[in-house]
Amino acid sequence: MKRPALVLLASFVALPLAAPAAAPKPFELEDFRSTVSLSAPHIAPDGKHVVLVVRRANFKKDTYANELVLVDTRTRAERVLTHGRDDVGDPQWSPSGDRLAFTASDADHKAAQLFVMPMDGGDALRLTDAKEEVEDFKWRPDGRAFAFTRHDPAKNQKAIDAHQDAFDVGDDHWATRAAPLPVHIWTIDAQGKHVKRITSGTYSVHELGDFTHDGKRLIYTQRADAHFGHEQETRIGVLDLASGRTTLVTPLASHATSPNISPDGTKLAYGIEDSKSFSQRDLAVANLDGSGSRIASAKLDRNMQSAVWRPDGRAVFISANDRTRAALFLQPLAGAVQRVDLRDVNLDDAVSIARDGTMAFVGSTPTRPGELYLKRAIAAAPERLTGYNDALANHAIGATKTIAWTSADHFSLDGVLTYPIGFTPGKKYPLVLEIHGGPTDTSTDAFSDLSQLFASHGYLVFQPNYRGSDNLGAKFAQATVPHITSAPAQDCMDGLAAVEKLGIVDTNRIGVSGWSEGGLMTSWLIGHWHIWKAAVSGAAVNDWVAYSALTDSSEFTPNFIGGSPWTSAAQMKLFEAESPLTYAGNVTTPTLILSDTGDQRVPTPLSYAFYHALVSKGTEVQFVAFPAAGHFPSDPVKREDVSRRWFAWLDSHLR
Amino acid sequence: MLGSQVAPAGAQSKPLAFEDLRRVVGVASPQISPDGKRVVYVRSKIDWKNDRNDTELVLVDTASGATRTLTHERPGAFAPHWSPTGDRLAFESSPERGKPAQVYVMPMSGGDPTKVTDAKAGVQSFAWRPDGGAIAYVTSDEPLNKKQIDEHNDAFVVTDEDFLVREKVTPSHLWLAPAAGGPAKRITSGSWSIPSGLFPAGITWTPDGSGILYAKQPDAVAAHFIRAQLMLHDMATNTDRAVASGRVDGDPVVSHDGKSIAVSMPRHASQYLQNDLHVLALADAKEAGNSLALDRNVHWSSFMPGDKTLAVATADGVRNVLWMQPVGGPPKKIDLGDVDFGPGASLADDGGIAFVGQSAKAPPELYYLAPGSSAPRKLTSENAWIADFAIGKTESIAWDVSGGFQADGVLTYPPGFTTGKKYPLALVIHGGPVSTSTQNFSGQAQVMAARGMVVFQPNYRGSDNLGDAYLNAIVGHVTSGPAADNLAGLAAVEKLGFVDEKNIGVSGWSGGGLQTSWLIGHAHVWKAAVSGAAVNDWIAQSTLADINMDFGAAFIPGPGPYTAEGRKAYLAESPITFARDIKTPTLILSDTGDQRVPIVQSYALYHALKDNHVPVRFIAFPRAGHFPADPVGREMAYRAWADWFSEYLK
Repeated sequence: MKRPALVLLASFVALPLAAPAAAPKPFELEDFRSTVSLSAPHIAPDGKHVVLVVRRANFKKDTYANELVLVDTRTRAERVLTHGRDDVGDPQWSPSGDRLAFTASDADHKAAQLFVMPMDGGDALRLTDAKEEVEDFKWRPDGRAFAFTRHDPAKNQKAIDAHQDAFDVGDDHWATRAAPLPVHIWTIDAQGKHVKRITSGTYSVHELGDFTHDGKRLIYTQRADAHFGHEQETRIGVLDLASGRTTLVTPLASHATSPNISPDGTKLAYGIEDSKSFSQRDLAVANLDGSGSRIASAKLDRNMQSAVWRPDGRAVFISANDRTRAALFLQPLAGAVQRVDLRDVNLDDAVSIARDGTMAFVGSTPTRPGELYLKRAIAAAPERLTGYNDALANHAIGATKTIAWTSADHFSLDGVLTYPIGFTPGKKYPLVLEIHGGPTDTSTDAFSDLSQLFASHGYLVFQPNYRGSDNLGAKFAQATVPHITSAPAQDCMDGLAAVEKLGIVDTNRIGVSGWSEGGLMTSWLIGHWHIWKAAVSGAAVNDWVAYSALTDSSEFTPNFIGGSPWTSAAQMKLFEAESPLTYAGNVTTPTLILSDTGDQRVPTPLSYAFYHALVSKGTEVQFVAFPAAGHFPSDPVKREDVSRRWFAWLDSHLR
Repeated sequence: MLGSQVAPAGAQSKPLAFEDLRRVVGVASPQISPDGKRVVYVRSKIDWKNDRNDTELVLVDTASGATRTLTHERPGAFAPHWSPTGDRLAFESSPERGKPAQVYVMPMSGGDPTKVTDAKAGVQSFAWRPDGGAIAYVTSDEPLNKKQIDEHNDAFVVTDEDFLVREKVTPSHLWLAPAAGGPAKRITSGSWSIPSGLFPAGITWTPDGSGILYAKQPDAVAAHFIRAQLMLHDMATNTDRAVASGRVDGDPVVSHDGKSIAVSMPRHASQYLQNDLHVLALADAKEAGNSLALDRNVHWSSFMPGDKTLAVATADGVRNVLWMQPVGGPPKKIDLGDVDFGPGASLADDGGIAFVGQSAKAPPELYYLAPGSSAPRKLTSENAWIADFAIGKTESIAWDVSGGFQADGVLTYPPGFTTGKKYPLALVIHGGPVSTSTQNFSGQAQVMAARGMVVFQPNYRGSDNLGDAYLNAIVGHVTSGPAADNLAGLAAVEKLGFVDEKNIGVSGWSGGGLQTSWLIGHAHVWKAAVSGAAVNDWIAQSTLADINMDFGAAFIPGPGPYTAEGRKAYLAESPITFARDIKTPTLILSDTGDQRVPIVQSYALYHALKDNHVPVRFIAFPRAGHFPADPVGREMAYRAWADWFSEYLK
């Protein structure tokens, strides 16, 4: 479970349409409808097959359809395993590899339930039967049972049914319509019998870790209650399944996440986080009872996104952003960390490892969206097993380059520059800044559809990794405190200066844009510099005070600016000083404001405020709202519409 | 559980509790027949199990008081309108529960009603053509981008919408339908709109049927109802003209001879402040008279027979009253005894008036005022059950405030109040701010009184019960000015000697929540507070509410919140600015879908109190609107409010 950072998890997706044309042609927006998204690769224990989720968009129905695909690691042959299970996900091989478990809904269950499919033929059996969806599940090591989690029903369900549905608001977000409910652990056997609740209480289970080898205990994380704002406050628990008793083995302060047990069953690997800044997650290793805890990845000093034990139990594979790559590292329990050579592939998520050490993962290169890769040995080059996105890869693709610069306080920063198709040295090009969200995130050189759309239309695109990004280590992430906006914004400007030094930028035609924290940067930059021809400020944190009252992460974000704005005049002043809204009166740049109407992360009211501030100043502004819940539209039509409007606004002003 | 049964006579007076208020029968929208012999009104009863208010149309004989229910199984029946000759009754109802309302015409000589409209978006308002042959109505257009929306491409451009909108509101226009049923014809079209939705405007035919008066706002954005112009559509030429320049509030009423109209118009820059009645010639807008001397914010008006006098309803002191305002003469207040006038009144051709009246002791009933009489006669006994309960007495109280004004308010005493004893005091401050606490029946105040508290409802500056100078004195001091009045009112109540000064609570909803949040940040005399749907932050209010910028600007004049100077002025009058100083245990209440006072302001107050370790509880009601409209939701809100005081005020 990732920190609910202000990240735009965007990949603009869809259906295979046309066969590749003879000559590479530039992209139009609709070309990206054919994008196929791959995720959740799981390699079978024997390494012979990989199962993964393949997702395609249906623009007519405005939905995505998932299927599970089995890929033979030797022949690369693909076979679709599921039919008519459009929301299928989370495939997990049984310990012996004879069965595959997954979650999906069916005719009788709108919420996803747990299924088991025999891999020697036969229908998948639905195990669970509840109104609530299965959030998370794990095979017991003997393959005969599962632990799974689901939300409790409301305690006052009867009263709610009688319309007495008032609820106590806690540290929840502005769009909350009911009290959040805790998640708890259940067990069920592999035939769907003997369903049993194991945990209960006001605390909430956050994520499942592993069973101990004897199947008697289960490692998981929990938080004190179900309120959205407490999502960071996780602790690792060791649950005795017989008694239902949990022993908490990590302190609250360490914000422990993603525990998993070493192959020999003696050690626990997990992430720990700092709560005082947008920060990074380090790898901690401890005994199963939490004793002997130590940070194992101090030297690596990168934000750990996933940790997977090497089969020998003496090292952990860590995925983390590094400079302008999503990289993979091998961290031995004793010894120096090494970066695993993935050539030009950016790792999409965690790797999956077979018993013999064969690794499967989804990755993207600068010229090709995500595909399935296999790495047969640590020294071997990654092999691409799939070609789902051949159609896109056959287009003309703008080249990417890492640009580096140094800040006044001696950080060596970087960003990604994408060149226009047909770039000619000596010519000047309009430039679009695309600033990533998070800030705990990184712009890598992985294929980016929005960047390529601009590149296809003659634009340079610059994606700076400002401080707070998770590609340079803890100090860089923490350097945002308490100047959460002004300091990163200066980094973006320094990066722009570095790009301009290349001599290829038409400095009269620069646009700035971003979503979320990138929207924050945009709103700030247009209030402080007047070099922009146009701006797109999406889901922007325009006001840190309002943000702190309304976001689902209300309980920890204020810490990054030194504490609650309501406790002292000085704190209020600092929050206002770091809020773009305070400087909105200076904005002269034509600005497109975008927001989901139901954004719980960066509340829509912040966009209303910025809109009214620009209107009252007489600045050219358009505010487009997408009637959707969430921090970014999750349906293909609206996702594409965001890109369309983003591109059209900048293109019409910069052209 | 609908129960309006009356307990056996002689039963002991019981203390009133919230569950008893489920028995309150609503009486609304009285329409007197042209001949004055019959009145139809909307009766509403609570269906507790289904959490809704069920309505039906009821006919009353003005002479005998005999009643007869006219409608059965007509979901949401409302808006009865007699045909010009009184032979038919038109009303609105949903063909099926939950579907948009359509107009039905019921023959009053027997027979099923006919559905005469088939408007996809439902009918907002309608009016009989004077010849009785047709009905003009208002309905909203289909979206221009309906095809894209159907394809899920439903993004929309936001301008002055509230923070909860999920789609662009489409313009509302005039249509004409035959009264006997048949295809309707569109009368107006365009990107402009007749005010609709939250701020609907009515339509009025000229008596000769040649034209329709309507209001026209520049687009369909709800907030822009305040920019509406009064227009006249000429049916013969299909042309439209503006009737009066300048801003016009409310629906016009037309004189019987068709030569004049009476419209309420803002005294100052904004309709959000006092509105006076102006009588204008329909032809050239020449003014023939006005209610400036009457000097009260006009709630309702109608031409009396002969067109020389207008019946006018306003608040006055701690009463809602009826005036006779001659066109171009001095007004005269009608003495209705202890009956509060309205809301809801209707005039017959002979000048007889049917109205909803309330006393301090009982929920609303239908009253009839015969031509020339000033003694209203009660026609209904919908709420006779209240007689079984002990009802606390109410009193008005007055005190001096700055600016040379004498403010007033209402005190409600616990039944069995004993002089010499000390009582906890609960301030219940009205919203608006342009509104008035009167001595009519308040279920909330009575239940709190039954629990042993004295309830004080002050009418601070900005209230519309003392005239323009008092109302307008709020401008520029939208929060601090009223707060000083309320504190002075509290001092006046304390002087009466019965207040237990260690047990004072302060509370209110909306503008009353604003006052509460401010008062707990500026005085520390409170044992507990209930801040409901509070305007805690005038900048957020002006940015996010359905009435947004224009509303804030009416009360905080100047350059607006998005300038350095304006921001200072807005923050200076915002409770959130002083939230650090709050020490009072506070209950925060809000609807999740409140478009009027956005819940986000309650979130801010919640975090401010919590981060400063002040006892706070924040209860949200998952509903649209500024206050729960459903019976269960209303009771939950009032109960949570009273329970907080019961817990703290011992």
